[in-house]
Amino acid sequence: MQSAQPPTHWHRAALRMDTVVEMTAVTARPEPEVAAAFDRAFRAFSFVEEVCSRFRPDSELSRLCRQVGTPVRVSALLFEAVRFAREVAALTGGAFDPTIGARLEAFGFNREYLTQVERGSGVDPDNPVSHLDVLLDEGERTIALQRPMVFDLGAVAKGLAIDLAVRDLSGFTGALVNAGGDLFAAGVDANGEPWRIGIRDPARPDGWIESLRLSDAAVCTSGGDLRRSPLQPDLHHVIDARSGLSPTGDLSCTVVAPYAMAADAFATAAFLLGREQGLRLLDQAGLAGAFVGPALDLHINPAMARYLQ
Amino acid sequence: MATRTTTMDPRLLALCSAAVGIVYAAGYYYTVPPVPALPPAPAAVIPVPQAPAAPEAAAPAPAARGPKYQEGTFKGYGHEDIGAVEVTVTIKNDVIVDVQIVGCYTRYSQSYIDPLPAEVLVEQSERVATVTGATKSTDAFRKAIRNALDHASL
Repeated sequence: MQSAQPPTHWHRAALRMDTVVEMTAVTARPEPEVAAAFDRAFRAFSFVEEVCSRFRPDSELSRLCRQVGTPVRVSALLFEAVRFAREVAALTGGAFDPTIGARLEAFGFNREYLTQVERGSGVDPDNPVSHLDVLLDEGERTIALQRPMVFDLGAVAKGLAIDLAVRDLSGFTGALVNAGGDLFAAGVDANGEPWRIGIRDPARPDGWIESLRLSDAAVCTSGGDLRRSPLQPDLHHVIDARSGLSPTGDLSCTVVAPYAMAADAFATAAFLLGREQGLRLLDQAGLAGAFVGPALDLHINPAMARYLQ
Repeated sequence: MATRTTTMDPRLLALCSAAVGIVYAAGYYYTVPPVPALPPAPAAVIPVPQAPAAPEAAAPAPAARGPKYQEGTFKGYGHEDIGAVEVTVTIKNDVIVDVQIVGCYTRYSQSYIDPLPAEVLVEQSERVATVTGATKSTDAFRKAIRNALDHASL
């Protein structure tokens, strides 16, 4: 039964997963229904953090990392997040590698950024470890870590939380789930138009370089933020596992994809590889990508062209 | 979602679609596996001579878990060297249901701490994350909430 009311614009924001998560719903449905949907959608973020955070010693991920050499049955969430992270690692020949968490800790990325609570795993960052040391058994849904490691789900977990939250808002005409700049735009905005999303200008906090018109797509960006290592200033928290270095040159990489989990992981992976190899990776994956160069010049692949106005 | 057109590689698309579907269907909770059983104690144990047990005072029965807070709206005040913040906190059924900033007498704009009342409702305490670049304003706010909750405490 269609409501005769025009859709209203609903909004809620909260701190989740170390960032500000803002959700918007465009709908004529009544307020209690919207509130209940927002409650569930925010719960998705809390849940993903409980399971996937390497900063919490009691998260399912941290507990998994303390059991070396034995298959451990895990939740569907942890299994799928690890599986996807490992898949992207394989596709990048190990440049993107979620098993380098101990090295991130050693470079000072051992605090949740907003709350500044410090955590250390005790894993030696100089021990060689790679994504090949992670064994998955799909039938049993177990993960066996062959060596001590800190598994970093930073490039996958937020995207997956966004995808789950979007599901909770799927009954509405339009919805936007924005987790600190990584987002999914579902349906249409209050004017019935595809959502207008800006690619952030890394040089200006509120500025943007290009705008995209999107419906039912995720946009995630890697680089372009200020989280630099307190110990080594030329390093930020995106590190190529093969070289141990952060990418230089381009300021950021933005990916548009049907799933935020993919946009999140592939934006990070492409940014790591640098513009040439990164755009090639995105072409192979069939995803749209845009690199922002040092002069704020934009470099896109053909798939991205159709999103630009 | 499955019907949107996309250029995405079909295998990767299927991987994402299956992953999100499976996780969503499982629900936002998981069971912590039980602690593994301890191995049985070794058979040969040298018995330790036991002193006769002294009669112990009966341990007091644990108090039933009662409410933490009174019902109503309580004012709180907190200050740092940059100024002071005044809040009200409303408690209903032992839950913090509303938080308002009723005064912000700091050198910096109240807009820095405007998002924090919503966080208090989520955290159900003054333990909100520090606003980047507004550490002292956040501290003053936290103190004000703590002060209000102290007034509300039973």
